[in-house]
Order: sequence, then C-alpha cells, then structure tokens
Amino acid sequence: MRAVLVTILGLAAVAALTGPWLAPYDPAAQDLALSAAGPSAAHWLGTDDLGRDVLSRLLTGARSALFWPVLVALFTTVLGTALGLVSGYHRGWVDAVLMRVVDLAIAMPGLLVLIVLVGVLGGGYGWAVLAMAVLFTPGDIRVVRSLTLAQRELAYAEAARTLGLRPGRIMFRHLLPNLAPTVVANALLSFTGALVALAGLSFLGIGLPAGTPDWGLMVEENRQLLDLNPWASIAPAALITVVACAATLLGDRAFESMSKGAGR
Amino acid sequence: MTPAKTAAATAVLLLLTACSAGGATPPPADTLVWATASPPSSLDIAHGFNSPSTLVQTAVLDTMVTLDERGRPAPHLATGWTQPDPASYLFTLRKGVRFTNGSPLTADDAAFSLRRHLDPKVASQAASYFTMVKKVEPVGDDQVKVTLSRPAPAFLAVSAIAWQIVPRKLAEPHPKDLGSPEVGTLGTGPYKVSRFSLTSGVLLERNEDYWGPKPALRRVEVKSIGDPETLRLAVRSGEIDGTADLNTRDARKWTGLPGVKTIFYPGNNISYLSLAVKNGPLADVHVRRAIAHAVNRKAISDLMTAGHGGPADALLPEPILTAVYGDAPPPVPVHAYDPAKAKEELAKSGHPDGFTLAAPYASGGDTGTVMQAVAADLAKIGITLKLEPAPSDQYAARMMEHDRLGVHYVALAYGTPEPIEVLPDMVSRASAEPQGFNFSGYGSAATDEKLDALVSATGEARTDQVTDLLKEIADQVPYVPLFHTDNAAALNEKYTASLHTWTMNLFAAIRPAGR
Repeated sequence: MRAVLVTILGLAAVAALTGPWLAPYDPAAQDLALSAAGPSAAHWLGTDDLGRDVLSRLLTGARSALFWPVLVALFTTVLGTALGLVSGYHRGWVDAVLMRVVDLAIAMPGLLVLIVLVGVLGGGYGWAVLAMAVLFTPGDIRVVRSLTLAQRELAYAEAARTLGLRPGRIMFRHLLPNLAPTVVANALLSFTGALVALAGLSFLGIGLPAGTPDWGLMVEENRQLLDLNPWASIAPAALITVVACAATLLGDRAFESMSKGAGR
Repeated sequence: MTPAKTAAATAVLLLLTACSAGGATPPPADTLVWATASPPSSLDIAHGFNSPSTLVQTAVLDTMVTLDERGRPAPHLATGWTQPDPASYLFTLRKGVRFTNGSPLTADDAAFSLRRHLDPKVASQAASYFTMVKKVEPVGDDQVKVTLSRPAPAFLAVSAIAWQIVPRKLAEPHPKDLGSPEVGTLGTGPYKVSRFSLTSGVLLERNEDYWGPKPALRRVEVKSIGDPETLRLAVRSGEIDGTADLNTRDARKWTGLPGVKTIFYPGNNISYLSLAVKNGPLADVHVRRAIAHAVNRKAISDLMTAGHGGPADALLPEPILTAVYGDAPPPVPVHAYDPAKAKEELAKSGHPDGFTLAAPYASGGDTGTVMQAVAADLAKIGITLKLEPAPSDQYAARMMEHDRLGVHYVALAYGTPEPIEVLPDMVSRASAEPQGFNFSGYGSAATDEKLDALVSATGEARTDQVTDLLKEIADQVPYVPLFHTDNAAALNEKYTASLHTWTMNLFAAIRPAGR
C-alpha cells in the first residue's frame, strides 16, 4: 500500500518538476476552431473551450497545484513546530499569550478569511498562500505544544536540564526527534489541506489569472464543458482527489511506522 | 404468500401508485415557471432598470407606446398621437382602462408617470432616456401633452421602454420605494403581482379584466437560478418551463435537450473591447489600430456565439444598423484581422517593441474567456496583457467608477432601434465620467456636437450623422467591435412562443402548445 501511495506522490512530483517538458503541446496555445473537442489521437484528453490541450495543461498545471501546497506545508510545519515547542517547553506567560493568539486564529473561518483577504485587498495568489500558511500554523502549534508538555516531564528531558543544557538544545536536539512522527503527519495533512483549499480558491475564481494551467482553475473553467468534453474538468478534479488522499494516507502510515520505531 | 394476501398487496400497490401518480400530476400548461439568472430587484423601472426586473414590469405595467415587429412605435395605452409642432406630442389615452385595483386610468396618472423620471427625489435610472423632456401635462380627461426642449424623434421609441404607467396615488408618496416588495406596484397590464420577494421570486396572475388581448398563460412564476448549469438541468428536468438567460455560447448544450425547444432571434446587443485612450500606451492611436488588426474577431465570434451571432464590423447592434442602413452594410472602414498590418501599425507607434499592460477582468461569466483569446492574439504582436481576475461585483463597481481603465471586454444590450440610445453611451464626454458607459474616455466638443445633431436628425440626415460618428470611431479606435449574438430562449415543448427582437412583453408572447 505504501508503495502505491509513494508512487502516486512521486509521479505527481515528477509532473510538477518536468511537466512543461513532458507536455505534448504548449499549454497556452489556443486553437479556437478546436473548442471543447473530445479525446482523440492528437489530444488524448481533448481540448478546453479555447482549444487548448487538456493533457498538456494537466501536466504543466501540476507545478502550480503542488508547489504552493508544499510551500504552505513547509511554512506551517517549521513555524508551528518551533512555536509549539517554545510554548510547551517554557509554559508561563509565553504559553498563555501564544495560546490565546492560537485560539483566536482557530476560531476564524479560514476559507472565508482568505476570500475576503484576496478579494478585498487584491494582491493575487501570493497573498492567498501566505494567508493560508498563517491560518494553518495555529493548528500545528497546538498539537506540538501538547506533545511537548508531555515530553518535557519525561526522565530524558529532566536529565538534560540537570546536565545544564540550554533550553534551545533540549527542545530541538532532544524533544524534537520524539515528536517527529506527529510533525511528519502534520506536514502531510497541511499539504493536503492547502492543496484542497487552494484548488477551492481557484475554483471560486480567486487568485490565479484566467488561463493559468492549474488543476483547481481547470475544474472551474471547464465545468461548463461537462457535456462536450467531460475530461477537461473531471481529470483535474480526479488528480486533486487522488493526490490529496495519497498524502493523507501516507501521513497516517508514516505516523504509525515512526511511532513504532520510536517505541523500539 | 397466499393468493388473498397477494391480491391485497397488489390492491394496496395499485392504490399507492394511483395516489403517487395523482400527486405528481404536472401543473396545467397555462401555468408557466420561468427562471432568470438573477432576481428582479424592483418592479419600478426607476429603480430596477435591469433585465429580470423589466421582464416582470412589462408583464404588469403598460406603456403609452409600444414597438411593433419592426421596432416602430405603435399605439398601446395611447390610441394615437399627433405632433402640434416638431418638439411636442399630444397623446390620446385609451378609454375605459382600469388599474388592477379597479381605479380608472387618468391622463393625470399618465402625465405623472413620465414626469416622475425627471424628479431628482425619484433619482430614476431611466432619467437619461428623458433628458429632452421639458414639460408633461394632462390635457382634459383623456390627453397628455409632452413638450420637448427640441425635436427628438427617438422620444417615442424610448417611451416604449420606460414610460410605464402607474397610478399617481400610489407612486407619489413612494418616490424611492415604489416597486419594492414592501410597496409593490399596480398597473393596467395583462398580469398583476400576486407575490414579490427578493429571495423567492415573483408570482403573477392573469388580469382577467385586461383591456387588450387576454394572455394565454393564467399564472407565471418567476424564480432565480444563478448557476448556468443548474439552470440547464432544471429546464431539462421540467422543474423550470423556460428561460431567456441561456448563453448563446452554450447553444450546443441546450439544443437537443429532450422535451425542450430553443428559440434564437436577433439580439439588439454589441460586444466590444474598450481601449482607454487617456493615458499609457493606449493613448497612441497607432497602438489602438494595431490592436484592432491583431484581434481575430471572427474566431472570437465563432467561439462566443456558436453560430448564433456574428462578428461585428461597426459599433452598433445589428438591428440598429438595419434600422439605419436597411440590408446594406454600413459605409464604415473595417479593421480586418491582419497580424502583419497590426505589426506595421505598432511599428509606427511610440511602442514599436510592444508593451505589457495590466488587464483586470471579472472572474465570472464570459469575460475571462474573451480576454484570454484577446491576450493570445495580442501576444503575437508583442503586447502582453497581464490578466488580473477580480470578483464580478468588485470588477463591475470599479468599471463604473472608471478606476484603472485599460483594455476591457464589454457587452451591452439595448431596447430600441435608435442609434441615439447607443452612441452617447460610447463617445459622449458626459458618459466618460464615473457611472457612465464611455469606458474608453474618448470624446471631444466636436463629437458632442455630432451627437447633439443626431438627437434631432431624421431620414438621410440621421443616416449621415450616424455614418460620420461610426467613421470617427473606426478611425480613432476607442473601441474594437467584436461580435453580436442572437437572443436565446429555452422553452418546454408544452409551450410555444412568438418572439422577435422587439418583443416587449415576453409572457404575453408565450402560450400552451397547440393553442
């Protein structure tokens, strides 16, 4: 099972890295005479309403669809883990202030905040990604903090403090490795959440300019073609679903196997 | 199971089937469920001058004048009119007409219904239609005299659209909220409003005492379905009997729906690119001419109209061109699709190597598709359009504020065959101010003089004035005409309809099939 999941994510990564070179056509090349054509030998997944090759746009769109969620996952994992460790280890006023901020952030409806931010302030997709990363981070902080609270009371942490090691060294050299299963699972969950949320934003027509090869945007732009060339909309929707499911399941597997490893 | 039990079970089943069949009986064919893409906002044209609102208004409120099948003014609540002088009209009111509450229609009601559009307290959205009106007064019991500031032949045609008759007693105390769900409206038309809600729609009942031909439909329910695909599925399933809000671009998806017929007829509309001439690269006329030659209007037209429309050569809707020039093409230069010529023009401009321009567009609807096609054409001559999506409402608000104008796709529809209804929108300096439709900002004192002369012109003089203005637009290219589309309607086969470009009352034109 794990091999299947790794293969799916691996293929998606390959498409993200090499999609523009693998694409049989220029993904932006229009042929209005070939609008919304069904699959053929020349266009395996047909064309969209502007006569662009759907397969080429899928391959090229993998970069936009996957790169930004990876960025969100990296941001939230690094920042969330660091702040969660600090909050859980130091406790006191640092913990109290951080947790109130986290409570506030978690109480906000994420997608709605994103729509308002991008819609009202403008500024494009970069702001949407940054806002999403900021909104996802509190969840990671809370999870890591609760684990840190438990870990800091264990004997190995007590020993490290007795030896006079600096808090930073204790947190990042000794506690962090024991939190790794959760951190990895969180990272993959953040990736999935960002993938689906950014596809949702693109579907709502917010962020990316029309015509950008992107899976979420392709679902939105091509959903009116369901009767003419369903593949133009179904293929990107299926890819979003498959990659999101693979990342989530792989996160679960990674958590289980790393937890067992840590147990030994 | 014993035979007795089997018989009993069969009887119960038959009974249930009969009951359920009875419950699912379709509504009678003289009840129509109609869908619009957005709900009517007001049943008063002064505050609801938009497509879904006027659809209901025309069913409920009569006008003094109507348009016949060729778009010519024809009597309606007025049985006729005379012109004591070129700048005034004396209308004779139809006798014995009553509002649906039973009160008689008076000359004072008719006069007040026009005068209120000039009242700043009303702030009518139709006020611009009647700027030439100087005085409106009842004459005796059955006549209304309208005095214009100068001769304006288009007055009759615009009256057919916007001079809707309401009782003074109801309208005068409600300058701002007549036609709202709270106040409602009252007319002499073929239908009366039984229910109006901004959320659940409108229910119309036939006016059994209507003075004119009785409409075939007894009841009409108007619902709003915003998503085009949901609307199509609702029509296909029979939940909705008809709609006129189908996009001609999607004609392929609508034609052939089982049990549904599609009707196409010439639409009085024009879709074009607006080029803001005030600053930036677009201030250079050679750049604008380069754009006009670079855009493949035929290809865009084919994409957007799916065969139900065509490329536009001049900046007027086809029915208006026909009204002015007959079947002859307008004697106006056309910027044919020619990338080589486009590059030549660009080479003559101050931007021979091209440039990049931000192009905001509405992320919903057709705008994104057209702008992508235009951007691909312009990229071939070195002009890069940086498309910037914005939510539709926000985009429309910015457009009307004339904020960040550049290259924009615009589609406008009109109600009369009068060019004077369109051209001031495009090139008058007054319309170049915020809330006006002159998104190019093009205009001059000389252009305003030509528009001014067009207001009073008739016959050949009118044709010459229109030609002169169209030639100026073609030469200076503040706009690039793209295409015009047919109007389209989808109707359940239970019904039939006789629709044409100037159909004023849609519901009166629909009847159960076979009648």
